[in-house]
Amino acid sequence: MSRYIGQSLPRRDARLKATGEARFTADLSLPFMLHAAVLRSPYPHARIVRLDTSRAERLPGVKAVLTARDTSGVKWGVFRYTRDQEFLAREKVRYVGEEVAAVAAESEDIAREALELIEVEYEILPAVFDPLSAVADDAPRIHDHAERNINIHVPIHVGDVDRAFDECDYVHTERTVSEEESYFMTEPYAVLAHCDRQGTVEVWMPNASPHTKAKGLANALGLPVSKVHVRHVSVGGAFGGRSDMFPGEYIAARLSQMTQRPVKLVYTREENSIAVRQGHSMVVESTFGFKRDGTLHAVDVTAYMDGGAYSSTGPIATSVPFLCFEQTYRVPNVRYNGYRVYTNKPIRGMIRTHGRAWACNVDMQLDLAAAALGLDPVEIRRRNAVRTGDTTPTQSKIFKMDSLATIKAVAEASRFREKWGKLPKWRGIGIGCVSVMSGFPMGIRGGSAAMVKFDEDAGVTVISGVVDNGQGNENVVLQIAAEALGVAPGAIQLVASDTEVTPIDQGAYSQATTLCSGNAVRLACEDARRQIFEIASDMLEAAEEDLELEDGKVFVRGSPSRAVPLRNVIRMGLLKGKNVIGHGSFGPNVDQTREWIKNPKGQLAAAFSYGSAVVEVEVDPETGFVRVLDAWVAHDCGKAINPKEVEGQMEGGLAMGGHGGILLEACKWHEGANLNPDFLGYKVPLAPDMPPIHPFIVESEDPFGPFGAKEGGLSISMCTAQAYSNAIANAIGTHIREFPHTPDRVLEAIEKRAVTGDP
Amino acid sequence: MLRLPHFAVHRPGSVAEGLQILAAAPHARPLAGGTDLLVAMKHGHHTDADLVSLAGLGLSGIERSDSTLTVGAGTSLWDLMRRAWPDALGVVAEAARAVAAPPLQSRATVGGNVCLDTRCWFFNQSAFWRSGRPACLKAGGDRCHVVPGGSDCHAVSQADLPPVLIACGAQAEIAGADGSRDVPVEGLFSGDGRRPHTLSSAELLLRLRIPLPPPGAGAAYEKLRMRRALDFAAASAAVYLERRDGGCARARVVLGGLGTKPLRVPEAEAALEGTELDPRALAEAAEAAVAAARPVKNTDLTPAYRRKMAGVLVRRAALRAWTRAAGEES
Ligand SMILES: Cc1cc2nc3c(=O)[nH]c(=O)nc-3n(C[C@H](O)[C@H](O)[C@H](O)COP(=O)(O)OP(=O)(O)OC[C@H]3O[C@@H](n4cnc5c(N)ncnc54)[C@H](O)[C@@H]3O)c2cc1C
Ligand code: SF4
Repeated sequence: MSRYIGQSLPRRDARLKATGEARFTADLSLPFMLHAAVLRSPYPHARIVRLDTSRAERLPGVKAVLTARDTSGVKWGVFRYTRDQEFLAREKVRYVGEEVAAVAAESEDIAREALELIEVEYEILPAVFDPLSAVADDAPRIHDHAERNINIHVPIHVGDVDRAFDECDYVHTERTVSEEESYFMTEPYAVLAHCDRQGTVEVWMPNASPHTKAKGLANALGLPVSKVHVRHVSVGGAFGGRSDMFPGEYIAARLSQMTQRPVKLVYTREENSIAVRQGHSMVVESTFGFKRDGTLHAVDVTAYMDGGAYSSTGPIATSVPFLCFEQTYRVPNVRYNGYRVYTNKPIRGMIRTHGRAWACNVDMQLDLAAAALGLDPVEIRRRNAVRTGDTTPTQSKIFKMDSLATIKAVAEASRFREKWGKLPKWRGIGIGCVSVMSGFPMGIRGGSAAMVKFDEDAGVTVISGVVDNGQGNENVVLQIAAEALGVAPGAIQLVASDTEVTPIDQGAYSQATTLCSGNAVRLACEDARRQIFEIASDMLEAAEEDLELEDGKVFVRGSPSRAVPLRNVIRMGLLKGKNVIGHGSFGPNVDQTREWIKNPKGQLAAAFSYGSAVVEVEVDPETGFVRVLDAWVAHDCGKAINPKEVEGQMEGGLAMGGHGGILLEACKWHEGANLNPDFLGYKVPLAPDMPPIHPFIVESEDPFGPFGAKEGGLSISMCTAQAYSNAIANAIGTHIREFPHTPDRVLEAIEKRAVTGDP
Repeated sequence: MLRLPHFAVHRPGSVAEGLQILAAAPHARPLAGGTDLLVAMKHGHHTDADLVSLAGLGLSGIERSDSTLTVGAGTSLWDLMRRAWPDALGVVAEAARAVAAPPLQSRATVGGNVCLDTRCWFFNQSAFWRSGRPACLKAGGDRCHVVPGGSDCHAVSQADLPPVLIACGAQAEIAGADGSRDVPVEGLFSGDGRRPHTLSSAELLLRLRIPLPPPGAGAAYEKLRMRRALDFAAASAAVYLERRDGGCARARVVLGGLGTKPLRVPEAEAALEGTELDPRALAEAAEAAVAAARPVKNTDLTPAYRRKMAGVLVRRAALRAWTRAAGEES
């Protein structure tokens, strides 16, 4: 019956992006536009003793210079209790790259020249660059309010962990560490802001949640939300790194307010790497206890996450790695202590692979337990996988999740069990599993709404707050609208993201778009269809419930010749004063009293996806290089609205989490300075690096998702990381505890094993 | 995007004119493909440079005589890769293919690759990045951030062609105010990370002359890089062998990415010469390569690892060269 759902229709932005016609923020230009540049701290920790901008102000072509003196001092933080970041440093700088001053000038060259004329005298302060040193008693204090530099502590305790360990037959402790990841979105951050004479501020920027950005910016500027319009623009990637508010948009907006001219600020690749967000580096210590039959009985995990200089999404980022774990494997007794620690490094946010040291630690524990208990890696996962009907330790009910089907798909396609233990030397196979939530409680900005309206010739316009960062969200809601209205997606206009005209939407955040924005669009279209049938039932002299809408025609079910063109129905409606406008509003079924730190229990999300991956590798024992021979990935996305898009997300997930995350990607440091903020130094895998990928889509038909759909593809980014790591361990006969597993580390592990005989 | 500084470009129409400009303008620098020089300028290096474009000098082209293959300095790597080579010199194309990625290969030149500056984590950074610490030796300062305390710059020579050209016994034709001279490619490298070439700022590399190898010669290049699709060498090795009567009559072994210049390893050559590349000879050559390598912590992967890889790469390159040589021995 589905005409548009489940079809791999070409994306509506594909042609524009392939031809270069798509307009990204840096491409935009407005009359009288000024160009901005930002002066950043070259030091990781320093007191600002003197800041003199007078020479810069006098440079011809400079129109405004902005420092903390010109700001209200409003601090940013995603939560009321995490507001710790001023958009321009006032007394201290806390990381290399922090914003100290900004200039708006007639050209970018003048703006950059002006930066060199700003005089800053710093008093260098002792700095700290890793979370374990930062929590030491004698560590330099980065924020006055944070003792031992602890920014966030998420404590979760369910059951009786200590007693449960005594009941276990196998208990094992593992410690893993990982460096930071960086996003390397194709598009570096850029912002264009325009404050008009009425004081209304328009903003264009790559973002993952226009309504969140609008609210944050309105707060910072002291304006009502109605005076801040975040506009639609093509976005070149987000991966979690465009979610909260950045100084860039504040700076551009403020400079525009000061000059009454449009101001554009375009970051360099380096600025995008150090002054937007990065992933957290981590130290994770876990103790896992199993019963003899391989069931996981108790888990105790402590994680130290390097949060960098400010909070950003701290409480969420500290929780999500744990939550992904508790949704993946059943465990009745669990204790988690997540510490997010301030350091003098760039600010850390959410990232697609939520903590490789965390996720891979879990699956390493499973493999080690399987070996000790005489099970194979597939079997131990089958026994422990969370499934439909389960409730997680923190009280989320899993309404529908076909974990076992994903495990089966990759295990069978890869012939895992035939290969396990029988592969030639230096070949290895590994499996990983993970569940990801579709949405989480986000208060008043946790849901989505949509409208659909019709032109007099029956042209359809959908209005939705949905934002597309490149993953294809716009296409998803278009296909949903097409299905609900019986109109080809190509014939539907979409007005998206623009906060002036679209209703509040949660954004492309927490994997909620398909579920929430998709449902809102579906409901709006169903509402419109109801109104259409009401009008058409008079015209066709048939009951509303007997009508169908397809191919631009309303007809009586069973007698398609009794039909009237949709166009006529719309016009009849207009004549009768019944302009068809569909409304849809959707809030996910989550417990809004759930809070990340104070109350981490209750329904987290309305839906949970599940992904499993198997990877087969060959390791060069002399160089430690890993060749990936094949990868099989399976993902329960509920229902693939557009299978090609889901596959694209799965492939991208493997590239980022598996191939990049385990083999290549890490930020390198020297005293708080990022040594590889560029594409050459930071090793994002490129097309020729990629292995063959065999994707399998599992459709469990989610009861709440639009047409059964939920999150599409994120779980693959994490479970491929686990599968890569385990496959390498299988090939070399020992697990590597440092992430990523670069060739030097792989070789070291091989050599150490040769010496110690470590199993 | 990082901005280029303002600079003048001279477009000489002949080598003589080019040399004149280079001699007259104090900050003149040859501009070939610009794939490295312009990046360095965006990073705030050589901001006072006047660029002298080599595009009009007629330096591009590959010619073959009975004894020599001559490659113009202006030849693009792309052209180098696609030309048919006498078999033992296929290694030159092999090295060119290992440079960067296709879009860069079509712009990048042979001369630019041979004259490529040395590299370092602390030097190949933006002016902003570098402003957080005192200038290092290579940038005109008084200290090294990699090996503090010393007065040497350890920036690493990571170009892919030089090791291969040295292994093949290539000569470089250099032109200056006093006319032109031929020097072995090996002689182009100073070993000083600051100023890694022996060319004066008023000289140009015009062409390379590679002797056509005798029957029974074979060569191979091994490049180890973190990301296969695009990366500089964390370590590399070029080995050229001549095989006569089943034995190795001559060997040249050169390391790349492991020191301030391409490192010729005579001990490794001696270990291979006169043998049939038996495992012991290979192990000795590998050991000599490990001893010769001088990695420091200023690029990808740990120095200890890169040093170890010198041995692995030399052994692998030697074996591949040997097999190729066997195919050539008639
Ligand atoms: C992303 C990226 C990846 C790269 N990867 C690699 C790699 O894997 N391997 C590698 O070897 N290189 C790599 N490079 C560096 C560079 O692209 C190549 O080495 C290239 O061959 C340089 O040639 P060019 O013509 O562009 O040189 P240019 O940038 O024009 O010049 C380089 C230097 O040589 C001097 N010069 C050029 N021609 C002459 C001449 N005839 N006489 C005297 N001096 C001269 C210039 O003055 C300058 O100092 C990479 C560069 C980038 C941007
Ligand atoms: S090795 Fe030392 S002196 Fe040379 S470029 Fe690097 S930091 Fe500078």
